[in-house]
This record gives sequence, structure tokens and C-alpha cells, in this order.
Amino acid sequence: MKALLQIFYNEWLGLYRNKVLIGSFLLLAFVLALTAWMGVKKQDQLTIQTHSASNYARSEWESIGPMNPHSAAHEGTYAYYSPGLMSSLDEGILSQVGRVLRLEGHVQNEMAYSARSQEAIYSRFGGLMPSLLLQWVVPLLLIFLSFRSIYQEKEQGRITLLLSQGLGIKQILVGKALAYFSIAIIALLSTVLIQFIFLEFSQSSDIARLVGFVISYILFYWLIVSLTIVLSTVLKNATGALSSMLAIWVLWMVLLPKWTASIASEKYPLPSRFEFKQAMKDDRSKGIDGHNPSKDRINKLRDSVLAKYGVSSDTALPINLDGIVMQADEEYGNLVWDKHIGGVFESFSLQKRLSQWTSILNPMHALKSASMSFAGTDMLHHIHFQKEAEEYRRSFIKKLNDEHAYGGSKTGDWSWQSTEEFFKNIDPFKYSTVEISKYKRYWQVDLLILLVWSASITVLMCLISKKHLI
Amino acid sequence: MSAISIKGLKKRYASHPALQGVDLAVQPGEIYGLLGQNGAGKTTTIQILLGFQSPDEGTVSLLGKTPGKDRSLTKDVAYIPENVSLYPYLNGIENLQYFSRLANIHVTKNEAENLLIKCGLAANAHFRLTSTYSKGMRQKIGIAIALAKSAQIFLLDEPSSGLDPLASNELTQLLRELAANGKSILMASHDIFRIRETADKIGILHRGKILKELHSADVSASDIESIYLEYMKM
Repeated sequence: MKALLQIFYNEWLGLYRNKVLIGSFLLLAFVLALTAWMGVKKQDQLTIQTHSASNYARSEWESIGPMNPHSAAHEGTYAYYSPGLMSSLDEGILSQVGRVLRLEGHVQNEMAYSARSQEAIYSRFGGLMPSLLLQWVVPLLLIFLSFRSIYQEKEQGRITLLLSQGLGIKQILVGKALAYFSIAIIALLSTVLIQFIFLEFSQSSDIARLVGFVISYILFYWLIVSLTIVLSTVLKNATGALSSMLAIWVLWMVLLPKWTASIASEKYPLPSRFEFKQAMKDDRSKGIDGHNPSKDRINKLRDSVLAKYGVSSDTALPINLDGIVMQADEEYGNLVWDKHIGGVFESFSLQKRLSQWTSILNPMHALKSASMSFAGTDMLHHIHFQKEAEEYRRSFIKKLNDEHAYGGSKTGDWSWQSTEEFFKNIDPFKYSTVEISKYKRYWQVDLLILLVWSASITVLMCLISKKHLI
Repeated sequence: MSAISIKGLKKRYASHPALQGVDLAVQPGEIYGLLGQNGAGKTTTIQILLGFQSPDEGTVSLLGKTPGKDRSLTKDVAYIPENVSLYPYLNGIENLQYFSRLANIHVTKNEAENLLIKCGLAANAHFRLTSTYSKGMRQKIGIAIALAKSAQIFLLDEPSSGLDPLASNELTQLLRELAANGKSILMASHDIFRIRETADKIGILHRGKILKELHSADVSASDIESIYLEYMKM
């Protein structure tokens, strides 16, 4: 253990006394700290904006005054997606999918106001997030720092002197790997620490996410360092080690993700926006429409309502038949939506499963998936919000339709108004990020894959014999 | 008991026989010079003695222990390679202290300075980065590292290669001093003069076999050269 620490310390000393390396590291640390700080500021800004917009929407709703409930359903309300503090580390798909959902009668809207649609710089360059640096820059720095580490000991003949001092091969390899690994850990922890301090992580769920996030990166960085060390040991020259690692890097970061996306979309295709809307429209048109109801369905429903109240005409009903018809239409529309969005969600789920299988070949994918999952910014978290918002929309519209039907108006009376008090009593939409345990079967697979990769490369490193070194 | 004992040592690299039955023994307080041209098997012999490689056949023992199997040997064996490569970002003292710490030996700054002076490294070089050192200066650090171990056995691979005459002479004096203190030394070299000056016994190694053993006290350097050249023609 002592010798291991000596090697570790000596590697650090070497880095410290190399002005170029220490300069690069300080630059990276500065950029990471700056990015983390910017992430914190952006998170603060988003929280303020979300609260402000949410409060404004609510105040608009509460000051709606006396109004016909169906008109109020068309006024609608808004659901604002606030994915949680961790999203400042990895924004995942947030920049594409938007954060605001308009909730109204008859229709399930898409989310709007994505960062990409709001900020030109986003659409051109993407956002500078800590995850971008942690996933791209830090591993590349580790490769460049460590690709010569063992090779130069062999090339310069120091390895025999080291071994003759009683060092084991494992001590040399692991000691060096730990030194480079610690650089990554410092970069990672300082980034996370800035977020932790300034964003006031206090809820255990956020801390659990933060721990999971850190563990994912720790496993990946160890994998990168140990793999580079192994290649630096077994390959005949440093150029071979560097080019092999860069080839693996390109494969993991660029080629495999593209191939995976192509295969996944080929095997489990998603409908285009147009196809989806058209299919919804077709299915819905077969049913009852609140404004233009199918005669048959209306008549059937009307007959059953008249029979229930024992009257022979709409005007004789003590309630408003229009409200009942609109709710029936809403429920039919919900069935259509569930059918189509269910298919989309199913495809997402299958695509996710397929891409997780490819993580066996591409641990970088497992890292990205785990990172987004712990940050609460992956597709699963997005779908969870959409489902919660849709559930709220259904209960919201039902309350309005029921008020229209049973609030005191008569069939055909579209000028009837409900009280302001009624609208105020409808609870606003509240959303809190889902517990991380809900998706554990996904992130557990990601972590397992990273663990197996790291452990396998560590075992490989321990199997290296003297013949590779001398 | 011999401090170093090699019996019937054979080693083959693919189709090339590196050692074809080497026998030699080095007693405590003795310097054995392994003389041979490049590719004769000198380095292979030393690497097997260090436990870096395993023999195909034959037995090797250092102080009665088998190298590569008995880890306690590392504290008893010091090795000085032909080209002592140090960490260029450390100075002479730091290199000596670092390599010693790896062998679990704590060398204070004073002790390190004394060792380096003993090895002939001028005091004004002690705190210079070793990236500025000549080969001879690095060799002296290598010897100091070996001395710091207080080992019983010293294995030297071409120790005088690249050294100037003065440094070579200092090396000889140092090794003789070590031998006088009971240390066993095996040095491989192709420098006939230096090996004659330094070693008590000389083994001429050619194509993996020791063809002749000579006592340096009985022969002059020119005699050794004649014998050596004669065997090289075989």
C-alpha cells in the first residue's frame, strides 16, 4: 500500500511540475467551475421564471370571473415542467422537448418553449453544460495524460529499476491509474460541489440522485483510465495506445450511438408528428365531437339520459345535456389519445431497452443514460411529467364539464356562467420530480454495465504479466 | 554456500536459444565479471536472476532462494541497469529518496547526500533536475539507489557503458569496496579492460554458454582479450 501511494504521489508530482499539464488542468478546472456556476445561475433563473409564469397563469385563472365552464375549458391553463436541481448538471433532452404544456379541453397539446426554440445560440451550438465537459473533455484529458504512462517507463528502462525495488506490476499499474483517476475525481467533485453548495440540495431524493450521478462518472472514469493504462502496457508504442484509445473514443461517442439510433428507429419506428395527429383525428372523428357530435352517439346518449331522468325532451331535463355530451367526447378522446400515445411510449420503451443492450458494447451510452436518469432529464422523466399533466387535464376538464352539466344550467344554454369561486376552487397543477427509485430497473442496468466494464478492465490490468513490461 | 548459484540454465526465445546451459557461482565478497558480446545472453542471465524472466531449464538461486518466487529476495538484491533512467522532474536527491521509498527504505536528505558523494556525484548536482544529468551522473544515482538498499547481492548490466574513464575508475573502486565488505557482485560487460580491473573472476559468455572462466589475478587484460577473441571465432 505504501508503494502504491508513493507511485500515486510521484505521478502527481510529475504532473504538478509539468507546466503544460498543470496549465491544462487548471484551465479545465476553471471551465468546469465556470460551467457549473453558469448551470447554477441558469437553474436559478429557470426556477424564478417557472414560478413567475406559474403564478401568473394561476392569477389569470383565478381572476377569470364569472364564465361559462366550457369557455373556461378553452381558456385552459398551463403546466410548467421543473425537472429538479440535478438538471443543471445534465439537461438531457430538456433543451429539445420544452418545459410548458398548455392544458385545455378536447385536445392534448405538445410541450412548447424548448431552449432550442427560444435561444438561437442553442439551436446553433447547443448548451454548455457540466455534463458536456464531464462526458467529452474530462475523458479525453485522461486519455492524453495516461496513454504514455506505462510505455515511457518501458521505453526509458525505468520499469526494470522499479521492479527490482520490489514493486509488483499491479502496484505500478494501479498506482499510476489511481493518480490519473484522481484528477478526474477532482474535476467531477468540484463541479458537483459547486452545484451542491449553491443550489442548496436538501431533499434526500436530490442527494440520492447526486450520489448516483457521481457513482456513474466514477465508474466510467476508472474504466477510461484503466483501459488506457492497459493499452499503454500491452501495445508496442505510445502512438498505438493513443490511436487505439481515440478510435475507441470515436466508436463510443460517435459511431455506435448513431448506429444504435438508426437500428432503434428502424426496429421500433415512431410515427411522424403529422402521422400521429392524423391518426388521432381519424379515430376521434369516428366518435362524438362536442361541437359536431355524431348523431347516432348523441342520440344514444341523449336517450339514456332522458330515460334516467324520466323526461321526453332536452328542455325538460333538470341538467344540461351538453355538459354530459362534452364529457363523453372528452373520455372518448382520452381513449384515442391513450391508444396512440401508448404506442409511442411503448416504442420509446423498446428503443430504450434496445439501446441499453448496446451499452454492453458501448459503456459511454450507459454513462449518458445513467447521467440523464439521475439528472431527471431523460425521456422517462419527461413522459412521467406528460402523464401527470394529462391526468390533471382530465380531472380539470371533467370538473368544468360536470359544472356545465350539473351546475344549474339547462341544455342549450351557452350563456350560463359559473361563479368565480368555483374556478378558484379548482386546484392548480402541481408537479414534483418523480422519485429516482421509480426508474431503478433502468439506471441499475446502466450502473451494472459500467461496473462490469470497469471490473473487467481492472481484472485485465491485474492479469498483465512481466512479459508485457520487460 | 554461494551467494549466486546458476546451474544448467537454459532459456529460449521462440526459435532462438538465448542461454544453453550456463553454470556459474559467485561467493560472498566476490565480483564475477560476465564477459560477452551483444546477444551473448548476459542481460537474459541477469533478468532471470532478478526474477523478471523464468528459466526454461536449470536452477538459479540467490542466497539459497529462488528469484521470482521468493519476494523477500528483493531487499537483498540490488540492480543497476546499463542505462539508469530517472524521473526527469525530480532532482538527484529526490530520485534517490523515491526509489528507496519504493523499496521501503527511508533515506533522509543528509543520508542521500552522503550516498551521492560516496558514489562520486558532485554536491552541486544533488539538487539539479536529473533531466540535466549526463549518463555517468545518472549511473551514479543508480549506484546510490543500489547502495541505499544495503543489499547482499549486486547485479550490474553494462555498468561502465558510456562512462568516462574517471567515472569508470570510480565505479571500480566503489565495487571493490563493496566486495571488501562481503557483498557479492555479478557484472555483465563487454569492456575487457574494465572487467579485468574490477572482477575477481571472469566468465566468457558466448552464444548462451560460458566457455571459459578466468581469475583476473592470473591474467592481464591483453591475455583476456586474446582468449576472448579466440573464443569469439568459435
